[in-house]
Amino acid sequence: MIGFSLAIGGYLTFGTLILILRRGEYYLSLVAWAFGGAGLTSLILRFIQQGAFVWHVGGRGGIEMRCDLPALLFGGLVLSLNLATLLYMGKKEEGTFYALYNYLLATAFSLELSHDLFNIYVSIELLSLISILLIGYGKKTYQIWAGLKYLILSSLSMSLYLLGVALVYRISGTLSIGALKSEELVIGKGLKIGLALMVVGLAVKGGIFFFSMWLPEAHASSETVVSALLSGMAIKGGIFGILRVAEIADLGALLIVLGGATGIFGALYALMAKTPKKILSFHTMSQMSYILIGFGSSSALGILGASLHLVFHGLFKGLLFLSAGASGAGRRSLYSLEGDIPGSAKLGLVVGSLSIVALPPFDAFFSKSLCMEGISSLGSKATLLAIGLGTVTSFVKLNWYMLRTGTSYSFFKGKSIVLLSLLVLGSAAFLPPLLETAPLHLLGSEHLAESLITFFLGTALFFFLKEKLKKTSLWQFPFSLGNSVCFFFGGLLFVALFLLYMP
Amino acid sequence: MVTGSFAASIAVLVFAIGTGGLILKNNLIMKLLSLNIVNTSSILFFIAVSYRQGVQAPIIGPGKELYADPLPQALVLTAIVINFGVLALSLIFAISIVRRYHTLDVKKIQREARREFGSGVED
Repeated sequence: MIGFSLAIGGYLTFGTLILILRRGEYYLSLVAWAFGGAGLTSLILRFIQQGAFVWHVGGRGGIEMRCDLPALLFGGLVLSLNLATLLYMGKKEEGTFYALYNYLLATAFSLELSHDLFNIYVSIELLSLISILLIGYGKKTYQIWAGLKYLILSSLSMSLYLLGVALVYRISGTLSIGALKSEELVIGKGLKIGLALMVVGLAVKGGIFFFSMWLPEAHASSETVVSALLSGMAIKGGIFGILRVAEIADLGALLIVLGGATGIFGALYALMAKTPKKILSFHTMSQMSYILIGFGSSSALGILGASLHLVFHGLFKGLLFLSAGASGAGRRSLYSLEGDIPGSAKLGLVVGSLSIVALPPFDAFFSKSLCMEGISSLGSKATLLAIGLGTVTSFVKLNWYMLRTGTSYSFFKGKSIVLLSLLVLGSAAFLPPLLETAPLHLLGSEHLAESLITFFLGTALFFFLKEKLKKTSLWQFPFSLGNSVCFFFGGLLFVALFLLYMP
Repeated sequence: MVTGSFAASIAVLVFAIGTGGLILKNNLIMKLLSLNIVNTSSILFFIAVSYRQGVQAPIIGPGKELYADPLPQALVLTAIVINFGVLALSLIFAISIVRRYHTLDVKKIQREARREFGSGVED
């Protein structure tokens, strides 16, 4: 497939060239981005002509690859974040950083098109190994420790994923997801345990609370560009893997339960967190709930909303992390902020916050409304509304303290923030062809009232709790290494029992 | 004669030992070695469940009719290489942490890292 080879070949070739030549890193990375863009365009053109398509690397019986709507949306997200982070860091990093950065993007492309259980394993392992190198790249010891914790948990989780793959292969004799789907397997106990092992393995990578306990520390302590890429793109790898595995058997109920748990706990911890980057990291966990619940609903609208939220979350979270980095206050306590913050950082913060709290016309309003429209159960709706309320309260808190500081009018790092702000505002324009109607009906519906009421209630809640939030801290023990491993095995037990005994 | 299911049970036992070490040991190097034991057990499990009795090596030759499936070996080789990479990287990270904090005690490292990160911020 020419598009696939262009994108991955471009990133790998130029990443290696950067390592060899040791000069012109920034421009070579821009050329790699252009190759990625050309590859994605070629895939989109073929998709428009013939819909979702499948091909095999290495001839018939080789590794199955599939290009469908979620894969293309993920590809668009990778390219947008690539350009924004490249503009943000400019020429100031070392050569090796750019090489690793391009390799990371190549593995993201490989993952989004993989439709084979073992290829997903290899792509996700590579994605996390490179992310870990990037987390520790700042060479501060707390960054290296955060990276090592991630490495231990991720390697453990991938061992379990491999056990799951072994079981599925033993039962079905194939690793290709397409073949597994068409075989109409009898879902017996062995296969259910295999699925549970794979889902749990991927949940550690996908930012799901109780599994990804490495995430807040790693995302909050790494360099700004790395935080934006990890939060916007890398954890979507795990979620994407879960969605691929969910094609084999109906895991809807499990996804809804996992989504509800990660949403509520993520939002609760974000409410109590005291530094901007920690708030954003916990909200990465809470926002995964919309994606999981949307996909778990198994309705066409829910799945479309969830696929779009996967992209939109990447865009606004990338914007929020870059703004927090440009403000220079990412790791400082909100309650003792001093000095001026650049105007561009404040702009990015406001645009990103308005998007994450789902106010129109920002993009997340449309994806969240579609998710709400897609789900039918009252319990899931109430959970998402509660998560929405927590999100509003914590973002009002973030803006309340950050916007009160003085403003300096340097447009330092403004380019990337303006680019992402425009994307956050404009990306909903891609909706009409996907919905086959204009999405304006969402604006005139009860969703508008829902999001406005949530916004006002959340704001009121912040002023009511303002002093309490300053003093309260939630338990930090779940995030230590030993306890994260315990939570992980507890989660595995829960998922296995859920799949075995729930109808 | 070692059968597939016997080897698979051994793999599960080794997995449990590795997990126990990962949770209970407080020394960073011991934790990393336990992790490696867990990884190795998953490879043993993969080989064990793919085992078929009475088949021959998948090399074409006269008089051979039943061949073993060659795919699991290929997959397991990839997994071994990845695990080697993980172990090497984690040991390098461990070295740089020990050089800075002068301890292998995970609890002390965690405390030091929180102090260095937060610089007084309780989060």
